Amino acid sequence: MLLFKIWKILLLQLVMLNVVTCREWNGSAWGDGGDMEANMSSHCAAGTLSSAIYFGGYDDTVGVAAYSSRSETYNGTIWSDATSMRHWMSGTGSGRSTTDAIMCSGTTTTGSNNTGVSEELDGTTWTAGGTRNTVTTNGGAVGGITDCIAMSGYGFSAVDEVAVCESYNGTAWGSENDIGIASRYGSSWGTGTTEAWYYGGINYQSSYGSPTPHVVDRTPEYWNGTTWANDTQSPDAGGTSGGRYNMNMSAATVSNTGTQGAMFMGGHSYTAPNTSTKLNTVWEANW
Amino acid sequence: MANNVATLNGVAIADIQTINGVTDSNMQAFNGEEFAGTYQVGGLSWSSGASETYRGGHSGVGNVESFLVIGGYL
Repeated sequence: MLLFKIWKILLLQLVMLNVVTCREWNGSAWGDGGDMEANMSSHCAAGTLSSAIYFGGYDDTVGVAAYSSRSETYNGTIWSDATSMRHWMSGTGSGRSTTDAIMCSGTTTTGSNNTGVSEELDGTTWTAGGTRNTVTTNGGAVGGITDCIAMSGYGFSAVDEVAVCESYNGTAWGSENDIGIASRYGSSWGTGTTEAWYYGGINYQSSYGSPTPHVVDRTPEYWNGTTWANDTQSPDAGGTSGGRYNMNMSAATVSNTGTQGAMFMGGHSYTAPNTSTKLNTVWEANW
Repeated sequence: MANNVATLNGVAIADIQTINGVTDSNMQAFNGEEFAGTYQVGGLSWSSGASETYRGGHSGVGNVESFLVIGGYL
């Protein structure tokens, strides 16, 4: 049964062909960005439009089709190879810049393995960081290598989506109050351990795909440094559910000053019991 | 949350929809007096952005003035 589920996940990823393309938003219009060197999805990212990095993810470049340790940096025009992570993995990660990023935990190699050992990018080298108390993948994360908060996601031990939340101080992960959303493929943003949001994602209520109906939350949760609480409901249709999932994993990582506001692009809406719709709508959230 | 304010300059609090453009539902208190509205702790305000071709499984960095969508699938 486990092998069937892994096969199903891999098949889905193969059916949905990854792209190398990127898109840029300048505040008023969308335009083409530079192409990556690999066809990546389910990767993590940090930085800004003019200085960005992605790391890990699923690479379906011809002849590859595997979880990846790849990392590339972007200067606003061109992507270039950067130092690879220690593991081939896809999971939960965040960061502030091309020299401050963290992969909190995730799925490695063929998908049958997982790891709670974080990987930290401090400068140009990836090193082993602390170990998560609850090993998750495809959840949210906000912050850098000394003040990261990771929330929600798929829990390997639970064989289900989980509502756990943990913070990282650069050395060790500690348990925090649970978030109100248990989902994977949501979007997270904020400043770090003192302020964060998590929105959407899907709760399959199982290891993958069954039973239905699933749950896709429409109401984001806000972290004030201590507890999680509901924030303003998104404009997505669908009543108390009807949010979106598979949109961009990170929406904004901001400092305490300067421009704020998060972007949510693409992804899917969900209608019970089992209808998923591709979206071309974009939401902006300000605070 | 209690509603401690009955009137403001003689206007019943229930008749006031906004103060400086801020709706009751996004305001926790005024001069320390709580409103009855449902206050959203993070204070997110949503708006529509310019549509863009569907993609999923991508990542993104930046903010509403400058944003980069990275890879994913179509």
